Amino acid sequence: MRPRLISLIAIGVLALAGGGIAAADTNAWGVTMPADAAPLDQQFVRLLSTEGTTADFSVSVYKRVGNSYSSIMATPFFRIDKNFELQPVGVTSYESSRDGKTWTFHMDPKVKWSDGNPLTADDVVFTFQYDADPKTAWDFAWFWSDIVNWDAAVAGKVPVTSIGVKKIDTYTVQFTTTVPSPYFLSKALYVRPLSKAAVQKYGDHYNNDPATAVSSSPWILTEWTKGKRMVFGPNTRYTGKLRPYLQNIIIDFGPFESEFNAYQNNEIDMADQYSFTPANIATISADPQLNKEYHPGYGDFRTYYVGFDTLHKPFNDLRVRQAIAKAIDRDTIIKKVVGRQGMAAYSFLMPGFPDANSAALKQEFPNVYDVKAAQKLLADAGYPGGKGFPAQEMWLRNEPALNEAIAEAIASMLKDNLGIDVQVSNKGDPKLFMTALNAHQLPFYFLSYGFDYLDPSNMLGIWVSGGRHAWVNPKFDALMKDATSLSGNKAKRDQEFKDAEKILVDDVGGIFIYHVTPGNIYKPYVKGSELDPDKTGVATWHWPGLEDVGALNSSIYISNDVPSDRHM
Amino acid sequence: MSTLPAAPEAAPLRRVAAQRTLWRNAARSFSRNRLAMVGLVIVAVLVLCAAVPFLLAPQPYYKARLVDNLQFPGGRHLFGTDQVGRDLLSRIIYGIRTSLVVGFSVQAIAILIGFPLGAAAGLRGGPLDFVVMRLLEVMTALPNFLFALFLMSILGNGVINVILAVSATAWIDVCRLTRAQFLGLREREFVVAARSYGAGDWRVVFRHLLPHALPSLVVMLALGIPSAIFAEAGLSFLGVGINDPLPSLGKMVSESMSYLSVYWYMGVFPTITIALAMLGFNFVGDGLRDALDPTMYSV
Repeated sequence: MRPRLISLIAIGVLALAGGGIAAADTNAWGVTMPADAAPLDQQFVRLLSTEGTTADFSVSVYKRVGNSYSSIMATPFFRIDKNFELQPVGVTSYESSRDGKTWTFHMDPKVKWSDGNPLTADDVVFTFQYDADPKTAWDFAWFWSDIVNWDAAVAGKVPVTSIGVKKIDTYTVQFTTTVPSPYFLSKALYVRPLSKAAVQKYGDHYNNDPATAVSSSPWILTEWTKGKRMVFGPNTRYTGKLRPYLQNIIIDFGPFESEFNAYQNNEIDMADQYSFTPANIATISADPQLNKEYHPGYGDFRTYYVGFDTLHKPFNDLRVRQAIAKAIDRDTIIKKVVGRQGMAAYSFLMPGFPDANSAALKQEFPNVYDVKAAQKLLADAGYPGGKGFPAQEMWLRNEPALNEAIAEAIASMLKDNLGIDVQVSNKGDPKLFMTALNAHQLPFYFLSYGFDYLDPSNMLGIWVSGGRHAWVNPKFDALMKDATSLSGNKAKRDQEFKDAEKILVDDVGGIFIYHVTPGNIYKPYVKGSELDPDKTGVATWHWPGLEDVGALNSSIYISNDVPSDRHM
Repeated sequence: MSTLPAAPEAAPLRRVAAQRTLWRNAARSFSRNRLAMVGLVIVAVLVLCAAVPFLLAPQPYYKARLVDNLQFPGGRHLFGTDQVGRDLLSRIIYGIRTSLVVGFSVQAIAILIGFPLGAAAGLRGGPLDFVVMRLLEVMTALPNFLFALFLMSILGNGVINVILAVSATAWIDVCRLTRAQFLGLREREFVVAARSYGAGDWRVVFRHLLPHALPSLVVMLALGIPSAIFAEAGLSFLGVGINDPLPSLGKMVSESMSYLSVYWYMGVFPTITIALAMLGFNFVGDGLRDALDPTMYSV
């Protein structure tokens, strides 16, 4: 009898203990944590960023904290996952009119703000009118140019109430564009409403103070200590459909130059490659552990290119542009300077971006490195051996060391191969650069562009004449105009974009040098399905990081191999 | 019948002859100052680099070979190579030329502007002095670096423009010092004596006052050269100084920051060169001051 009683008791104790081990934690939102998750007090992530003046994208894009970490308190219409696919978050359904000019979105009536108010069409309309208001002087106002009356409202010519963003009923919003906009859905990623009630009560920086912050996302501001850090904690009044694991997000304020060192000192859990110097990259490559933590990805499909003023001498001659293109040894630059931070570019759209056609354009005439042919082209244009060619000053827009090195390499190649004198000037003031660029006053420069929304009209659109580039090609313009607003014939639209890009390459509107493959580093104890390989096999800290419009924030958690001395 | 003591030697005559010129005496005093001689050797080497870099540098400063980039010191490249494969030793030698050209030119312009203004103000006094003083006050209120930055944004990049932009405020101290010196010296007895026999302003300035003001001026100029080097480095770092590929010591140091933690030589060698230059000019400046100081005649 006794042994059996003892064994029963033993089994009972073991069952309880085993049950205790098996029973997982549930976090602040009642979500059951994964089996390998660390205790709840470790469910936070620490990042480093410069301190901005606002947390909200819809208040300022370029003055946000850290340019991308803090926009986290809205429920946007959509968010984007690691496969760059749109997931509805704040909308339940949507439809467009037959002419492609009207888009109607039905919002999720279950989503409420943390102050108890529902998130409604009023908030969306209010946010757009606020952004169109010349008094706000929103620094991203150019983005919604295609909305009816937007530009006129931004210029102060019509009242903001006349823009093509209308409330149909409490939970239905309608957008009207000036031309058919088949790409509008990708742009709708950027619908991130502010709380109308909070702005009217506390002003547009209501989210700068935990006392007045209002959130419709799982997180809310719990601390903003100027000069030190900001902390987002669980919004326990969240009513939306996301089921996040991570409870706290901490952003320590500091210069980006210190980001890599902070990561090495285990003060932060993720470091953004943009702040890595060439020495940091060399350190990462030489360290097996750091190398494992380095995850290259697509970033924001950024392409670096050499640009010209093609409307004036000497670059108005196609032969001159071709000569310069064919005198640049792209492969050696990638191999010896860019290394793991990029891949060779032969066109503007990076492989992986919709309608990218890099492989087909690789052998186009300007893309083939051929010094003899380049010299002959330059001689035919009237500058044999570079004689008589005006000395050039290649401008850079406040670029870090890597891109300075690339520009220097290009300059030396042009001197060696063509006899052209090129000096390199990295302008510390981006505004100085952009003012000259937009006024078409820059003869020669090295610049980049990354995408805003996943449609070829976004990337290729910056080459349409009248924009930032001093390049005019009527055939290109016509193809772009047609393709951008073409609905109902995807094959034709794709082909038109590809044809347009081929013109851009052949007419040497710019010389495409490399696509950035940024490698963020993050600690091995940061896990989540969004960090697993995407459909192309790439596993990385995808764009846009932890922002409200990314799927990353609700996917990641801290696993139980985290060092126990880690603390908030 | 007793022998008289031997007549005194001609030594005193020699001593008087040796005191005849300020410069000869100064040179002797200087040559006895070990630290100053070390400084002179350093400065001589630097000037040699600046004068004939093409004779000393293994390669042109712009010659890039990407396949050889980021090599550590040794072998074909004594000081290593930079991010695009340019020889660091060659770039340092040419960088010395740039830095010294900027340094000397800035100081030369500073004298050409500051000395006459200060001399006139100190000597004449009155309304001229008043105007010059007010001008000095206004210029002193301007932050030097920001003013240079502003001028560069108008002038555009390049060595000449950098020299002009930095000179625009470099003459202030020269002017002030000259004025102060001349104010003090113009009432001295040798000036009064010179005037009494009809010496005009020019003669008084160049024959009598300048030799006394010279020591402080020379020292100030010697010490001002490193400051001009740093001003140029700051401007170039912001993209409004001199352009790549032209090297300058300060620019090489500031650009090495992104490579320093691994490619230490890219920062260490230019920094040592700047430090040597500063030491050299400081020792020479101190030696000159000691040698030219009229109260410190050593025989």
